[in-house]
Amino acid sequence: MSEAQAEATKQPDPTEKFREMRDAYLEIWSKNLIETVNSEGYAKASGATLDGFLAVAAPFKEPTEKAMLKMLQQLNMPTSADFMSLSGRFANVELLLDNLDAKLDRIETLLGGRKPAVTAEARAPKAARKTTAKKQTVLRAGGTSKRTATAKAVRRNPRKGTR
Amino acid sequence: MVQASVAMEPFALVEEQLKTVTRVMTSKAPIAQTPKELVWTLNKAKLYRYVPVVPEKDRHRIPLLLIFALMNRPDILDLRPGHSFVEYLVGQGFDVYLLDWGVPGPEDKHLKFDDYTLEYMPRAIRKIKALSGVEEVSVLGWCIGAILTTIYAALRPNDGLRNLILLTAPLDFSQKERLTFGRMTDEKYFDVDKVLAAFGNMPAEMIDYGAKALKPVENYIGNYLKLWDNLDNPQIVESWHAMNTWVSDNIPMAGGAFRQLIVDLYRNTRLMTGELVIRGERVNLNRLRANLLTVIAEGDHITPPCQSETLLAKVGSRDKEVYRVQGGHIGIMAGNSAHKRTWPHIEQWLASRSN
Repeated sequence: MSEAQAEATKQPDPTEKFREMRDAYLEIWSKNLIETVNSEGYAKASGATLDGFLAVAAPFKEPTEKAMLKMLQQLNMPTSADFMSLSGRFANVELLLDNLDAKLDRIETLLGGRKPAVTAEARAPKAARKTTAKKQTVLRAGGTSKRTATAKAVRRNPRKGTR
Repeated sequence: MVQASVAMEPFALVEEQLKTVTRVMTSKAPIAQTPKELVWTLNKAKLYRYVPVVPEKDRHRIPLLLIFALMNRPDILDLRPGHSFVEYLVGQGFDVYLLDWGVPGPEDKHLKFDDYTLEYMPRAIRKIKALSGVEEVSVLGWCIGAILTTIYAALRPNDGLRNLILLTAPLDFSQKERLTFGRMTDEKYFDVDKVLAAFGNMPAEMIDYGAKALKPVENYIGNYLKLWDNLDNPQIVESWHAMNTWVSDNIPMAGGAFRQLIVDLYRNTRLMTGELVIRGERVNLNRLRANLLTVIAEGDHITPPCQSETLLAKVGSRDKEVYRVQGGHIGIMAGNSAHKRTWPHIEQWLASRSN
């Protein structure tokens, strides 16, 4: 069927005119609103609104926090400050572990030219896996199987993330 | 009977359409589906390695690290199967890693660009080098991620960074009149310290509102009309669903980093003037020597082109290129024509520099 024929047999869409009008109206509205949002007046108004909200919320914030702290202490329960401190400690432990990991990498490199861990290869396609298998044999002969095991442990412990 | 069923047809159609609208508005589309494994973590940050699909002998030697903004999830890089930049790169033989910053909690309100660029990034890159066995790496930064990668590249030029790709990078804040967020973040109207004192981190809802308010009709009305007009097209509906899932899943930005973004960059343009100090080190863009590709979106209302154009004159790279694409801040990488224009250009540029 030619394009002209297809055009002739096409069902008229009764909402098409309405859509065209709607889109034209929205375009005008959009241009005006973009101009408004980029104006000095809008920045001033939104700043004032935010300031107003913060001013209203501020007097309640401190007493609420104090009351909550007191209640948690009475109940012998950890506060948000305790959790924050704990989180900081975990992050520090992670940093130290990462430092150790880097040192081990350097030692291995110095001991005999470490090859990369190949954890991702385990799930590579068959053709890729064949290549990987050969390489891993070479790696083991070079005494680097430990590093591969370390990388695997990271992958298999989803709880290690502190999020 | 036949007449009755014909009369019922429009109602059945409307009912079907309403069901579709309800489904896509109230559920999450499966996004970020490309297989990956967790290889490193630090605090909330996670480093993922995408499972290669190309045999090792055919892969590019230098691994690629993707770094996205701090206030959105990086899932946009891997939106959905068949429409994923990550999937495309993995298919083209790149060893792809993704640094996901995670969601900062109240305990992370002090995190600054200093921590991201000199603590998290160097450590993640070291891990990539250890895993891949290659001493060089390519990094792609998008939006705020591009700010972080630029700072890192300028501060650590001898860290093995060979190729740097910046997407819609907001680096130059000198042309105040052309900055869309310029007025909103002006110190006359926006007291960043007061906001951070109240919330700790910059709330995701406020960032989302700020971004959407720049184009209110498109974001609050046009977007939904686009869905309504295309309810009979499953492809568009699924694409809309995936994008809506990503857009509506915002995360807060660490207070320290947000303050630096507003005070050091938006208000004082310290990165381009060479006055930005990160952990006592001045960021000198002339020290950035990696091969550089800057991708600019011509229709970007969040990062106007003027914010990325001037970088090339400042850096010390010999191999540098600007690639301009028609489209918006997100559209150039996740839009319908991204796989025809932006992705192949990045892939070709990177492939010729990754062996």
